[in-house]
Amino acid sequence: MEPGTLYGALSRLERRGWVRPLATAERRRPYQITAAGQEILAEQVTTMQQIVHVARLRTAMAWGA
Amino acid sequence: MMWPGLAGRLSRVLVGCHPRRWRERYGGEMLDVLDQHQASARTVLNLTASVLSAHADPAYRAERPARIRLSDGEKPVIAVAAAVLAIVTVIFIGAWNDRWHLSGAGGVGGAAFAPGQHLLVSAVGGASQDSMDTMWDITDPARPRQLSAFQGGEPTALSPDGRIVATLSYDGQPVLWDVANPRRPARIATMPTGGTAPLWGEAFSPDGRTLTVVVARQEGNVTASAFSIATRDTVFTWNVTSSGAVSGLTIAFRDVDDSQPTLAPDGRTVADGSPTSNAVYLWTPP
Repeated sequence: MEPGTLYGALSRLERRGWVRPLATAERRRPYQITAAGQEILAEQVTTMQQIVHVARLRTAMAWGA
Repeated sequence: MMWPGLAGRLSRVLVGCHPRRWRERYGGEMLDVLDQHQASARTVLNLTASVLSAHADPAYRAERPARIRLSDGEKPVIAVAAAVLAIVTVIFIGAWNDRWHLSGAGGVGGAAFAPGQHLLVSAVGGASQDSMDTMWDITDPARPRQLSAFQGGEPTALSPDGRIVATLSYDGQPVLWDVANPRRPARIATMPTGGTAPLWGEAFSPDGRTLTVVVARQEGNVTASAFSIATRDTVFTWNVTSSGAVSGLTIAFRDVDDSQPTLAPDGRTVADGSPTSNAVYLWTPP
């Protein structure tokens, strides 16, 4: 992943309060998911699960996979 | 001498082009990430997009510097100049990467061999820290034999007697390796160059007694209307014995506007040139 993409995503996540930066250690900056971030992530995973579920049903109906 | 310098330097300049508040928060981190990233034309384009989107972002827009007022006659001239500059830059970096990155990111990071010797050192894994250097016996160049592997960084020079390999470690420092027994490479010393300025050339003299390293310390200056890179080309020369003992450092430097110095294979003559100047300056450190 290119640094511009990485930091574009990180700055949006941080501004929405979904991640927060921890102290820098040896030129590495760890980021931690926040409670709000966990909530959003859980919602996203649920949505994706529903998409997968529907897709499985449809493909099973169409060609019995 | 396999430094994909231009893309890396442009990337660093582009980090400096972000809005002030953005830079204060993410600038240092991004530069650290860039240090460990193999910059390419894609990185430069990606960072350009990042600069534009950060400036367009309302959260940072308040920080935007005052606009320069241009007359209607100047606008098309500047637009055409910017477009030409962008196209030339992309083509130039593309050609540069084709030349040095033999098989793309994660491919061969560099190779060094010495006249009359049957040894070749190559690095696989690009700029990643888990890459390995490999010593090859190339007595029969059609059928190289692998002798050993070690984690040394990017190999840049092999001494004429084939006993010492100079590499560029991933923290940007020249390192000497004893390969008198090419099956068991051993680290000898790290050469202090006082920082992690890009290394542009590293060579042993033909008699193997001195090692010369050329670095370009640069400082990018970005204003609302232009950017410039001031560079100090610095040449370090050490005496080296056949066992790799290092002594007698001499330092010479030359200030230039924007330089990509190249070191002659004999380790004596330095050529300064840049994409923006029409001249190449040759000089020999005292």
